[in-house]
Amino acid sequence: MDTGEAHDYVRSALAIAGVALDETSLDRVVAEFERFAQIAAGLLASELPRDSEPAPVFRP
Amino acid sequence: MTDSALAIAAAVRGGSASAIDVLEATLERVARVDRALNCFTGVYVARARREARSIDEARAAGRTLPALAGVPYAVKNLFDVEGEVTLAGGAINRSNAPARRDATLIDRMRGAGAVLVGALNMDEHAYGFTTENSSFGATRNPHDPMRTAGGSSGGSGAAVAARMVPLSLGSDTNGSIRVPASLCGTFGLKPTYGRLPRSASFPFVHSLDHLGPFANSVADLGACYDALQGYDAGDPVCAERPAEPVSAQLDHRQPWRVGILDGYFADWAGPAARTAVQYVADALGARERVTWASAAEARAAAFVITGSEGGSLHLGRLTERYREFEPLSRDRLLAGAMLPARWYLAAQKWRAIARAELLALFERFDVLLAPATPVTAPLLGTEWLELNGQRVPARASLGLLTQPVSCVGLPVCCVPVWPHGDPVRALPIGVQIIAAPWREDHCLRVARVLEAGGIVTSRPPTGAADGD
Repeated sequence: MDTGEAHDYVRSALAIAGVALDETSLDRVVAEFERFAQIAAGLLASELPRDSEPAPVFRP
Repeated sequence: MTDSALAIAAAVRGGSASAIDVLEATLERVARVDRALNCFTGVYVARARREARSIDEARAAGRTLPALAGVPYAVKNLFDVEGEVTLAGGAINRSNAPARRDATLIDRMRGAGAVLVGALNMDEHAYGFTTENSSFGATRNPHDPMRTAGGSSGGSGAAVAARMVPLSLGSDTNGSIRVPASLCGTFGLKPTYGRLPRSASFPFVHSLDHLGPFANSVADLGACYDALQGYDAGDPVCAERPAEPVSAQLDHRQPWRVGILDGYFADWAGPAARTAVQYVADALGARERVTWASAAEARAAAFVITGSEGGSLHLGRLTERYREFEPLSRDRLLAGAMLPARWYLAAQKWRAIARAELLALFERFDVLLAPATPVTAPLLGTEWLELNGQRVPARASLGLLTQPVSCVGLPVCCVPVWPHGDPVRALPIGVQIIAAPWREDHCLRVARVLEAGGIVTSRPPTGAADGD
């Protein structure tokens, strides 16, 4: 995800969430999002076992 | 006044000191020392006097006093205190209704006879490692007030290190007990995830939040931890396990199998951190270095889970009141709330993988050693650190070495190490003693071996931070 894509994604996601920001604040949020993306990349780089459990088991 | 919780309790039980006299001395010291450090956001004088007098009345009536009778302590201001507004470090929370009850851990401290003195400063909503709070001011390091106390439980670490109170409680989601313990030179315990109930405390990241104590000795830390243990249905994460007291076992010796975490932990440790781990390892006769292959992924998973859960928790108010949030963390919080679900789910999967890998190491070792922070306390306002050949943001990176471990929920005791040389200018740094789930006793017993050997110790501050 490059900066332009990150900017578009964050702008859209914030709009859906109902958050209105000025451009300066939006740029700061995008910068933080890009840092998340950089760190998350290592988690997404390889296919994980299909049966690995992503969340605690809910017991009704 | 002594800075030992157990010595205070013994004196109060034995009648050589009254709880009210101990409290008044504490209040005087807080008033004098905290001007320089800014640990406290609230001092509950009337309540504390009531609690202290009830201890003295119980003794006068001939009743047996509990383990922490008359011991003053304070709590990070995310713990609910009846009748007080729970700030969780946020000015935005000032208009919230006062808490209707005490947090469960405060109930338990009162049951153990401890006296609640006040509430302590923190990073807003626990999202930070430096306690640089734009609304309530920065908490300063008792060993050098120009430096950070660490965070997010910075007030809790600094208040104990500065001998204002002998015990405090904090929270640790990604390292928020261990980072201030490391930078302030105190002992801190992050118990196993689910060991201590979080009921009636302000959450940050439900699947990562832990609560735990700070103290200036292993014996005090163990006594406080024992007072806090036990199941509570009010926290769905709290394990239905009986209390497993550690205090009576601290000096039981056994040949410890100690490993040194290498790879990621050596890569991201600065020189002082590496030296501290080697010093502790040598004292324990530990030679074997082991690699936790997915430590980097565990840290990344913690980072993503924290952003996603923490951001989602606050998204409603961020939508309406963005500008009232802490400028140092509101953009990260908002970005976290926008993370794709796929990233969060991948992080949870990696969490399980990383946990299994680390648990396998405990078939060969009782405890593992790792540095607690990459560096000693940075100057307040530091924006960047040079680590592992990279320029990294200082505020987020102080937790690089604690995040992988809390991501998988293992118990850790952070112990303070001091460099050799000029003791006036020396700054402490912590070493993590990590054990298998539910083996807090292993962490604390190894910490006690090191303390008894003079390898780790909590030193009182000198100079301005001592109130001189």
